[in-house]
Amino acid sequence: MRKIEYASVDDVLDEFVPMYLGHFGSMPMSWTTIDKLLEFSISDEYVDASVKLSKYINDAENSLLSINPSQYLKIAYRFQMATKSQKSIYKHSDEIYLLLCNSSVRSRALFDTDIMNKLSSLKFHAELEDSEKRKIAYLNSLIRSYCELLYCDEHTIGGDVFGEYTYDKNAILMRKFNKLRPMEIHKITKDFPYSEIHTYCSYENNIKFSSDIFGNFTNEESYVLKLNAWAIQTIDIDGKSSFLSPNEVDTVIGTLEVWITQLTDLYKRKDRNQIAKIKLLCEYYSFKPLFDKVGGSWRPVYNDISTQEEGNEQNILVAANRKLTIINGLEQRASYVRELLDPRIKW
Amino acid sequence: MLNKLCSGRGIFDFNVEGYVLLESDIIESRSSEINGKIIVANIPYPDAVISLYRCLAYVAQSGGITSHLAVLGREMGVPVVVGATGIFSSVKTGDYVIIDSISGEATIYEKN
Repeated sequence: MRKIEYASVDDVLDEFVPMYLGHFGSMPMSWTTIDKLLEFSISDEYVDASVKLSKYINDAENSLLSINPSQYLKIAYRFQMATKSQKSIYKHSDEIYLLLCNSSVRSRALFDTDIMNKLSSLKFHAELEDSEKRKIAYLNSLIRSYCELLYCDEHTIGGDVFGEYTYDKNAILMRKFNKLRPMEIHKITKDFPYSEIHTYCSYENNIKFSSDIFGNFTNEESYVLKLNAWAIQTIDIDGKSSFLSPNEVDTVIGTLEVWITQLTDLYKRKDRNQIAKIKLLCEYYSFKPLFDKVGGSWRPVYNDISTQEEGNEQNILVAANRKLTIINGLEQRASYVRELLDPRIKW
Repeated sequence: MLNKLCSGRGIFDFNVEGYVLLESDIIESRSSEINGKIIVANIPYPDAVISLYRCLAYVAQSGGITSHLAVLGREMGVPVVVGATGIFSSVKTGDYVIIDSISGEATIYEKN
């Protein structure tokens, strides 16, 4: 059961801390080759954009933006990391943080209101062989991985998971991948054939899904073979919507396999600074729906990315010397991470 | 004879054994060489999803229980071990290993 509202910063931290610990384990690194500590590098520019976003969404009339619910949480997280390590001290940073987090809850609630009508209009494919169940699970995983590559680890910019919804005595999960052609980041995606892919998976109702606040499932038992029906909608580059037949699923899988392989190779050919530049571009891309509304550029200003990177590394080292000692034991790590994620505590 | 190599966080309870294929030795992610193998990676790239669909199990030196690989393992019902510190330097392609995962604690053994 998701929250209706975060009442306080502590309320958010109760969910953020276990998620953070679960995500990075004992080794804070990622395939981007950019250590998670580089998150300190997000600049004042990011803080300004976050503040602008929080003001915009605080106005009830402006509450709807095409930002995925989980991405609001990511923005809130980066915002507080930036205010923690940069010189920017916002008097009301905890209020802005809370506003961003509650925008996540609010946009998810709005989505939930609309979904039931949608479900009743869907024609599900049922009576599935185990191989077909695995294939649908693979398709979901492929799209997520594709988003991970598009947005340099920040897959929630590209899509989100909604549910579970009880419908017709089953548990439905909807995975909505809605930003699959970010040509401003990767020009080559102009050739990707789908603008959006939405998957609706119906599972036996004896499954209790558990997930963190970013929609990462934490179930301890596999639910793949509990799938009892599916419907998959694609929206092509001209906006034409269609539902896949079982045979067409193979085509989409083949397309995604090729694109994932190509994008992975593309990243492997880049050096650390080039990847850092893409990653920063992705982070700011989150604000595109805002700037599309209010005008101005969502793009970060790169004066000299390599110098900027070095500068940031210096910041990180300073922070590291002060705070990032080797932390043994889960309790100590949890305490440290709570301090790290708390916008009220400045370093 | 079993020789304990390392431990990590297991996704699901499982017990599997098979031949290791280092991720760095994979030539083509969709090839049949992956079928039935236990893939071992340092930090998996997102294209790990392609071999994950075909392998017996996937072990990564990095990551936590909600890292990308762990999430994919759950989504696809494939046994995954994350945070297996030291595994990448402990095995090579062709080694035979056993993985025992109970209640989130996974232990990896080498079978001589």
